[in-house]
Amino acid sequence: MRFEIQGLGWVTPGGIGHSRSGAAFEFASGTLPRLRSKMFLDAVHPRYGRFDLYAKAGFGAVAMALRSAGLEQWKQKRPIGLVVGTQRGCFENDVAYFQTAATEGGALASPNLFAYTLPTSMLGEASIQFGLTGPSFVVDSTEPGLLDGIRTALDVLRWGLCETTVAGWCDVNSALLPGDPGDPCGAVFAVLSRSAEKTAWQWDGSQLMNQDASVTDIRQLVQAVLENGTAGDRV
Amino acid sequence: MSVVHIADIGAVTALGVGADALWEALLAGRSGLAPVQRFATDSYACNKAGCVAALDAEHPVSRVDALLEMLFDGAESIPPSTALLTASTKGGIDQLERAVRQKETPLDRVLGHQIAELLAQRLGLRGPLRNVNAACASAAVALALAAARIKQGEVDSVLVCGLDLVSEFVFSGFSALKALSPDVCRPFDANREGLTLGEGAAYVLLMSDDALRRTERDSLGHLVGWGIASDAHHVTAPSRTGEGLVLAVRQALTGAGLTAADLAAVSAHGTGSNYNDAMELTAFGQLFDRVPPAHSVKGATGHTMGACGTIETIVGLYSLKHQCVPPTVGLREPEDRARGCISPEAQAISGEYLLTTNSGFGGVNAALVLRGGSSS
Repeated sequence: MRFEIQGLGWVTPGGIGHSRSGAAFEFASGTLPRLRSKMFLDAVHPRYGRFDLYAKAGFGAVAMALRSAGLEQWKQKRPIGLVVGTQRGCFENDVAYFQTAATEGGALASPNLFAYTLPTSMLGEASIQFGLTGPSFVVDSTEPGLLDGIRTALDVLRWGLCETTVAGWCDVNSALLPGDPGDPCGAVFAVLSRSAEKTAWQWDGSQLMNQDASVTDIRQLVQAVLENGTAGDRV
Repeated sequence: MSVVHIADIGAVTALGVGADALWEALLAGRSGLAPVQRFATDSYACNKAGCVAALDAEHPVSRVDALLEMLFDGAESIPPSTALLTASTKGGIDQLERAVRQKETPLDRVLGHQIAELLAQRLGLRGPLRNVNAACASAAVALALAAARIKQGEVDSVLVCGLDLVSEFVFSGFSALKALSPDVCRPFDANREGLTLGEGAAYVLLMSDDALRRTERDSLGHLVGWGIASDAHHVTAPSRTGEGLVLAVRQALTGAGLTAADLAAVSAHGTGSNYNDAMELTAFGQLFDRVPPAHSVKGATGHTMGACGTIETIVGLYSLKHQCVPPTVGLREPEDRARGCISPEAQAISGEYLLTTNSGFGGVNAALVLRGGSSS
């Protein structure tokens, strides 16, 4: 299947940006900047302050990706999918929630925290904000290239479940969990569309290719777009 | 394009171990909902859930381990090249509870991929593996992804295993959201007051024609259509218009080359929550000229979250085989729009296709269309 990358967005320790913003991209371990909804939206989002860090980063990167694709504004809901790969998801928020439930026999359990104890809540918030009605789900993965969300989303396109999808990787570190402290922290999303034209990007169900070269890491994918531009997808 | 066969099934729920036990209990109108033993419920909105009694004792690793042992104990072996999709919302959440309470505990069952890796190791599977999380539509979404892959001829067999536990974590959360019924849930009842949680695990092994022949298995039925769509409405409540569910069902019917009139029955999500059941009835009203016999298992099993898609697919196969849908346990007085299609009694059906639907937090909806097998 040939496909286009219409836009890219990211929220990483290196900063916030999208593929048309001119911002430098760096996806590594570290601490995310303090995130506020006005960084991504024209108006304050009423619930953004309640989101856990995973949801804040993911929501922000989806917003940036849609902005770079020119799909941020909408009047009618659109059949665009949302797929994310993650390793830890909302684990940190799970811990924070259960700390409220584990005392006083659960009488102080926080409904606001509980609402974000699913990694899909971030996708739900993004779908509401941007009117996205396509398939939406999370893929739990430890794949080192961080491409599982994008690969699965490309399958969704290939199988005809939708024509466009926003997909990527979102993860935040947790002090409680064993793992590599060098794991990248933050979110990167791409807007992907099936294409009938001959584009640089191909997916055959196992290999992700750009200009006939294999792409095995999400950082490679971003660099290819930043170097060649989304407008240069067609070859 | 390959036909997608259902080659094997298994289930553990509050109604017992095995798919036969599940069906027989449902058909008899039995309920597995009972007072929770494994944690104190004094502060919560209710004290009942659909627990698997054998899991009440604390497990040294996680109750997930015991649940999977019960599920696959005695199961026919699965080809090692089979791909694996687990579907769980919270996996071994009992480990996280212990960690927060400062007890010495491993944390190797708390992430979705850990559950997939555990099961692959347990079954000796060497194919690709993932956990899919789509809230309470997780297993239905995983079945859709698995079926699409087989239909395209990309893999020969995929094992889809849904599972989730009744935990204080989830129980307290739904209680805080005021989503729990004060007594047992009453799906589609005029006086329903909320959902009742349940736990369980169920697997559905999907195979291509070739794989079915090669492994000399009988086809129990077919997965012929699937759809996934979002409401884009609210993070914890379904759309009042049912638009996401309508989209998912239409996608599933189109993929199957069917119309709503071809469906003999519906296995609804039917949680017993006011908003969910109203949303489903609204969606069904848009999809059907006359809603066929429909039912919900939640009053018997409880809402098993990530597992319900595989559990309800199994029940759907039995419904097609026996040409009846089981009673909707807990239902006393159907709400107006449920009259004539949802009943506290078993209902005869006539036809070869059944629709099963699930919806979840984040506004995700999934629909599957099943066809009965010659030997199902």
